[in-house]
Amino acid sequence: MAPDPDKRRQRSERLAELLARTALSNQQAFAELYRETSSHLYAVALRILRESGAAEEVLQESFVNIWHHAGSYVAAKSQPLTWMTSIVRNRCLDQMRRRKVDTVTIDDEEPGMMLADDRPGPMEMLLSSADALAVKSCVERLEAGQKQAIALAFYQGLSHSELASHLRQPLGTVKSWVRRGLERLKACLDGAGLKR
Amino acid sequence: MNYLEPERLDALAAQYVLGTLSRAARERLARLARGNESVAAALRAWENRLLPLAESLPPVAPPERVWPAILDRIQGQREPGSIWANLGLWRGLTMAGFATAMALVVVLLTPGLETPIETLVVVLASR
Repeated sequence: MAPDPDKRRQRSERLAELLARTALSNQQAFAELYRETSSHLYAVALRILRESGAAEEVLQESFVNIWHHAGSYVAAKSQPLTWMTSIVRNRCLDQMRRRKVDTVTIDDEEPGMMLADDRPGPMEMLLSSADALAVKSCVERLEAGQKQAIALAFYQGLSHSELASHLRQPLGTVKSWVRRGLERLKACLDGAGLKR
Repeated sequence: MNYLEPERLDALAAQYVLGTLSRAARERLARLARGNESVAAALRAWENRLLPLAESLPPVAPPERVWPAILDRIQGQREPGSIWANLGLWRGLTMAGFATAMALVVVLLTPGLETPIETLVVVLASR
């Protein structure tokens, strides 16, 4: 899939228009919005929650939320897909953090599960997306530990302590990888005029 | 610890969007963002930076049952055919009720009309 900025822009405009019509309670536009984005958003939820029932529930709640709050989407402030992704991701992450309190952590359940996974690993995804967004150079400038910690946190929704146990590193080390990695990513993205 | 100190806020917003914050810290920041535009803007800036990374995930079609379930939920809350869900009707009735009450007050307060004060109290109390 070659990165095509024109196609990306057209898609964004189309999604923004569907959101605007959804805000006017147009169910047909809403149905189209669902067709266009649900498999992307479901993948995001599935990746973090790792359980289809929970991911389905989050997807459902997120779209109900989008139906009611489509009017609060501001095209000048974010891309439509980014706005929708943030709704889904925030629900997933809230659920993950809640879950951690009253059930066992992922580490205790299936140690090393992610590394044995045959789906594309977080590293490859981070790189292919960065490529599509022309920020590959920013990601590549991150040190290996920073890159790995950020990819795992982003795609799998791991907290600092989960990262530490997955990467078998002290908590302090992992925290500083994440913090420094984010700082460098920001400097690079903002410097390259790719704020979004 | 001052959450609104710009560098601190930026670092917290980054971790919020990346997903590494604890439950308590997430909830605190989300609460702050609702009432404070600079917190909301910091979160948005990081969403714009990081969330496009999610576009590289291979799409997975959700089960077919999800869409009808969503429709059920939004239609249950806004049944177009149901009189109980007709906001315009309720607004109209409220306005009409209010107008009637105001008219009564005017009539009752107009000098020359003999109105015992108790009647006025009863009329107003019934609103």
